[in-house]
Amino acid sequence: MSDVQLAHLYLALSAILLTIGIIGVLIRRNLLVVLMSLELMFNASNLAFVGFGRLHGGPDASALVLFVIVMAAIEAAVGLAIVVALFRASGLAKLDEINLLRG
Amino acid sequence: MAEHPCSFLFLIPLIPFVVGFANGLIGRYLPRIVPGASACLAMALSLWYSTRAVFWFYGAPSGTVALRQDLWTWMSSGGLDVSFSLMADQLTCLMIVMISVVGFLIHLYSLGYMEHEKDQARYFSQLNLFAGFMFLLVMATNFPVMFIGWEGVGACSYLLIGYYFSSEDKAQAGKKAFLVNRVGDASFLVGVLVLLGGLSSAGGPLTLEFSKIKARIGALAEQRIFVDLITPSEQKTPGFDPEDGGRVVNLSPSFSTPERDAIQSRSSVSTTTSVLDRSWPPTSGQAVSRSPSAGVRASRGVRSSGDSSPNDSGPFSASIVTVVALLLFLGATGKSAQIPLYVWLPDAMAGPTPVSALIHAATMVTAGVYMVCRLCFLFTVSDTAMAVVAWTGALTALLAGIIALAQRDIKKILAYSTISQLGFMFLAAGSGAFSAAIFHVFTHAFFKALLFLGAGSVIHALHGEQDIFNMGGLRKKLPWTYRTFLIGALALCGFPPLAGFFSKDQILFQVYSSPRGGAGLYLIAIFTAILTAFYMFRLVSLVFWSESRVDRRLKKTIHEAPPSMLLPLVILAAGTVIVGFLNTPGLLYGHEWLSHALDPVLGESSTQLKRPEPFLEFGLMIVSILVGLIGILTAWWIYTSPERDDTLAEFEGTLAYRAVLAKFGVDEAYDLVIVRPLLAVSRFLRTIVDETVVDGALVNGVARLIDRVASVFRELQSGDTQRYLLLLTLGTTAVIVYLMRSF
Amino acid sequence: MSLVNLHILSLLIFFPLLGALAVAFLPSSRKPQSSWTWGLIVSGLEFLFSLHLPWHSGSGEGLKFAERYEWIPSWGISFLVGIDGFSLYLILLTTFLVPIIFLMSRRSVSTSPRAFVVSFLILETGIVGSLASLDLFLFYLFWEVMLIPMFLIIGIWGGENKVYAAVKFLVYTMLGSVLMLVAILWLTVRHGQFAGNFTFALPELCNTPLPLTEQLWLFAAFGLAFAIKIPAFPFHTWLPDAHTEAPTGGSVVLASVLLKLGGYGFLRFALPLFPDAAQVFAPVLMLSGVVGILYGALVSRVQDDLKRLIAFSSVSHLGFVVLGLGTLTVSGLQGAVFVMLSHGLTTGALFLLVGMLHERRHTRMIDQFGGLQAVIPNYSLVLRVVTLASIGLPGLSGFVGEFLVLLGASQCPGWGRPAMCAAAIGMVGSAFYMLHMFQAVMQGPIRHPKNRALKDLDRVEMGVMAPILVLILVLGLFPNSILARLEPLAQRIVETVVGDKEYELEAVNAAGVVVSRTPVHTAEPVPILR
Repeated sequence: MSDVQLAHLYLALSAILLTIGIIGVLIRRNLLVVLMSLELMFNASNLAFVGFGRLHGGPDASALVLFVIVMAAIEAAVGLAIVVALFRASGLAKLDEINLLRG
Repeated sequence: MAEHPCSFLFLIPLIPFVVGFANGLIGRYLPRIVPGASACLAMALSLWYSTRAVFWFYGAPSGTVALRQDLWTWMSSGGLDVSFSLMADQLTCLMIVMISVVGFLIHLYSLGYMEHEKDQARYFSQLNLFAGFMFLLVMATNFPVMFIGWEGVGACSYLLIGYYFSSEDKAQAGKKAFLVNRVGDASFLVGVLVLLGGLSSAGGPLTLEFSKIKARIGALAEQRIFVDLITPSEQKTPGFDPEDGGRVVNLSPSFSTPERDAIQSRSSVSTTTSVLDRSWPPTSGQAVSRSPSAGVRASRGVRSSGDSSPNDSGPFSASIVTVVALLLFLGATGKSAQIPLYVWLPDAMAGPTPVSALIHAATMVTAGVYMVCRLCFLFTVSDTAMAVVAWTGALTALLAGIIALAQRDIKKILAYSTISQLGFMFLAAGSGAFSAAIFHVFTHAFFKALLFLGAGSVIHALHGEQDIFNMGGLRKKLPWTYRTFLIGALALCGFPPLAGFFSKDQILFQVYSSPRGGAGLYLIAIFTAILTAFYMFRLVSLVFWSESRVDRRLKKTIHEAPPSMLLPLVILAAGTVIVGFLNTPGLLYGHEWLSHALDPVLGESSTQLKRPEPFLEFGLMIVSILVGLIGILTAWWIYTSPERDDTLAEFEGTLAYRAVLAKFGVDEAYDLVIVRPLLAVSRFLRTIVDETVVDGALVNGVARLIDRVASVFRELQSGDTQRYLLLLTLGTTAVIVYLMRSF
Repeated sequence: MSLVNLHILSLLIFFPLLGALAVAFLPSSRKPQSSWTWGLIVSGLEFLFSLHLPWHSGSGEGLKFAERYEWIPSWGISFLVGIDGFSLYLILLTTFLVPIIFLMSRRSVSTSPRAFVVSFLILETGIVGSLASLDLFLFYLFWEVMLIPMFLIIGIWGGENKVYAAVKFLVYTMLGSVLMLVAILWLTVRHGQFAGNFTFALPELCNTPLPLTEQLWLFAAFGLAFAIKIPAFPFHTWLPDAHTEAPTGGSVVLASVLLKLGGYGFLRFALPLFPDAAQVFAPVLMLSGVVGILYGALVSRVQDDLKRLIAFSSVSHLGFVVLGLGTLTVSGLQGAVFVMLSHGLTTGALFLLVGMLHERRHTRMIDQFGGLQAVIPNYSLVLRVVTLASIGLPGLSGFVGEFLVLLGASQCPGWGRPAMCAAAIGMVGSAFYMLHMFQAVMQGPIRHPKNRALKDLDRVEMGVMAPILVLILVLGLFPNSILARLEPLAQRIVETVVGDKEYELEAVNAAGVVVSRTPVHTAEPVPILR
């Protein structure tokens, strides 16, 4: 445990958040919750970048974090727009009821 | 030098064809008299050209075997050239004259008979087409062209039998005729092809021309390929080298020697090629090998042994010829209504009566006999085939004669009578008496046509009644019909001096005395002659002599036929009287003109007696006359007196009578054994095989299999986003783990 | 003239396509009749152009009017076309029938006639292209081009089950062609290995020395595609459905022309390219042919639907073609081609006639008819002549081909004789069902009151049937001009397959210049790929 720095704890948290996020995306039925879990995953990846940045040094990590934040914002906007449009068109908000593309 | 060109032969079949076509296409738009008149005119023209051809033939330079006209090359394939050519030799000339004369008379008769029909154009067009095909058949120089005529007459017969198509039964009769005929035609075709195969394997160019095949078979016979048992026989002709195995001399029996020499010298110049060169008579001391006997040697009385020739192995053996001959004969049984393919002829009576007269008495049905005689050189190679022909003819004659005894329909009686007489012709042919067979063809055409046309007149007078038990006493009401009919009936029974007597008698004599004939066949023939006389005069008695049983209402309207119908009857009756004298036997100081005339064509293959047997011949003649008289008198006695009606009625209840009336159930047997199973098989094939197995299991089955496999894969597209994401996650994880495995 | 000569085949192939494009972009405002008129003009001109071919083709054995343009040189694909006796008559048959089809379909096709005309013209392009192509890739291309318009024709203008029938037709035929594609590619690759240059041209691919096992597979692949098309016995089940559901014009072109491409494919490609395998497969072909003849005849007899009956009769007749191909004799091959030509005419006529009945009564069921001869005598006459021709009455076209096939079979050693006997029984069979059909439809009493009011053939219909009838008669009596032209070609195939000679093919253009020829091979066969 002596080699474990703070950064490693960040990474561990990131991993836990990512897992929670994945499980949320895969299991939760409500569209908005899925979006939130997706956000969680983005944040987890941000944390991971921060942790690795502390471990390796250099500006790359911070730059990537900024990219990811922007990506998350865009994704949230577009995703919410899709959810709203979908709800308006079909009245459905549960993911397992939306299966028009069933083969 | 063998074949003399003749430029108008093609007109003989062409004119009826053209007029027939025209009538068929536009005839129904023309005034009513046009189709009939034009058809008669066409037949008259064919008659004119036929007689002209005969005169040309006899006026041709000596040594001419036949007139010939080559028209065009029909097919040529792989070495085989089939040319569309017509010829006329003695046999053909006889046939075309017969067809034109009888045909013309029947066309004339039809003008009156069909007067009330609306659709005359169709009738006359089909009748003309028939005549065209028949001419083609007898004038053909090779098998394929003959086959055109062969099938063509079958097709026209089908069309004409089904003339009254709105009746299902009549249409069915036409169909049956065509189908049964077709079986024969298929057999004929297979026979031709086997023959071709046999000839080609024996070397030499491929050909289907009759004259060339005759030469080839002659040449092969020369090389002793068909050698049969040659027994020295007491019937050798003087002048032959006795050391030689005793070749049968093929001459019709003639009485006086100088005549025979004249005949011999005439036939010597009418040979085809040098291979067939026969110099007659061979001078003594001349080695036989230098004057090779043409044609084929016939064996002696070895009917029972089948092919006893030691040489029946090899590519072209006598056994192949037997197969060919039997196949061709099966075709002939179809066309000429013999066992086993005779069942269509009685049903064919559904057609108009002139059709029955022309097609089913005079012409089409004799095509089989013509074919056998034309190919006599082939048939005589094989004993088995000749025996089959003779016995089939005899048995058919007997069977038909028996069935005719109980029939009630006037036309059916005549139909069975035709079958029976055709049996006689084949009996003659099978016994080697080819010219006797052709003579009977000729005379039969006249009196049978006469009988049918007379029957037509009776039916016409009674407005469609055909049951002889509803007729009677017509002697006074239809005098001309009666007289001509009586002449025809007497001719059929072989009453001298009518035509039938001479031809039938010649057949009976030949059958008895020819080495290929025999006592057994003769007995069957003479018994059939009794039956013939009996059933014919049963008919005559019931229709003309006995008391009238005609329906009272009809009685008043019975009138004699119009002149257009009577004239042919009279002419045919006159013909029946005269035609017999074409071939009066030598016994009665006759000239045997026809036999001699046909000698160049048929003579080589005939196994007729060379040595005259006057007592035998005379005795047989008396027997046949007596037999005829017995039959006639018995029938007259039974059927003309009303007292015997009760006995008759009793007799009709017996099993024997009912079996005969039911024609021994042959038609029903065919239906049961062939037609129904065939339809059942077809249905089976359709439902089980085609729909279920091939289409269902294989084709659609594959489609369903693919469908099922695809539906499994379809589950992957569940439309459930989260399932996709799950798979995505798992996949990505797997990839990452795989890439990171080395760490 | 020589300019036309040099390019006549390209003209024949692409003219209908151009016509189709023109029709497709016609302003459709006014009458729908204009598409029919255009269609007739285009197909009529096409027929006239095609008459140039027999007029100027002269004699000799090679492929005439050849043209070669490099298309994709790096892959060895060129636009190589040429015809000889085998393809000439089929091209003539096609161009002859398309105007007739347009004339007849005018009154029965009412929805989107423009699309119909366009489809047919594209189909014609595909057919003539297939018949003329000598480059295997090009042939495959045109082969596939034929499928789509036919699919549309059946699927859009067909009967009740049209979609099922169209899909079945498409998928079944395509299955065979895909296998053929694999075989084409394999063959070309092997040839490339052997000869050094990569080419798809037929004359150059001939005589590629392949070991027997490889030839067997390749022949089987080609053979399957063609056997499905012919249709040979076990692969025939797409045909009844396709024929029954297709509109009249579709049935006519399908029966008369498309089916012949199977037989043509054998003669042009399968037999010359793989002679040793052909010899091995010949008895199989004969067996399939004989079974087809008998089976088709029997099943035909018990059909209730007129078109289905005629469809099975096609199976029976084309059994003769397969039998003729299997005999590998000159007469057999000539007979096979002649049966194809004759069948094209007679069965096309039969479908036209059935179409006329269908138009009047809107039914094809046999039990709806009966006794029609009294009501429509002209129709009855035409039907009767066509029926007799179909049965093979000598003097009409059907007999010549059948006779030659039987002749060929009788000359074939081994299984030839039994096959001939069985096929002769098939002759009885054809009378069996045809006469039944005629009697059930035309004879007997009039069973349905509606039938009393039927109209007889009008002038257009008579005008359409008359040339067909004349051709049937002419082919029956004067077949020799066609037979003579086919004989050296058949001879060459027989010598190659049975006699182990090298197959020499030469494609000559109208100016006499050789554009493609079979190279003479001397080397040993290349061993099987690892």
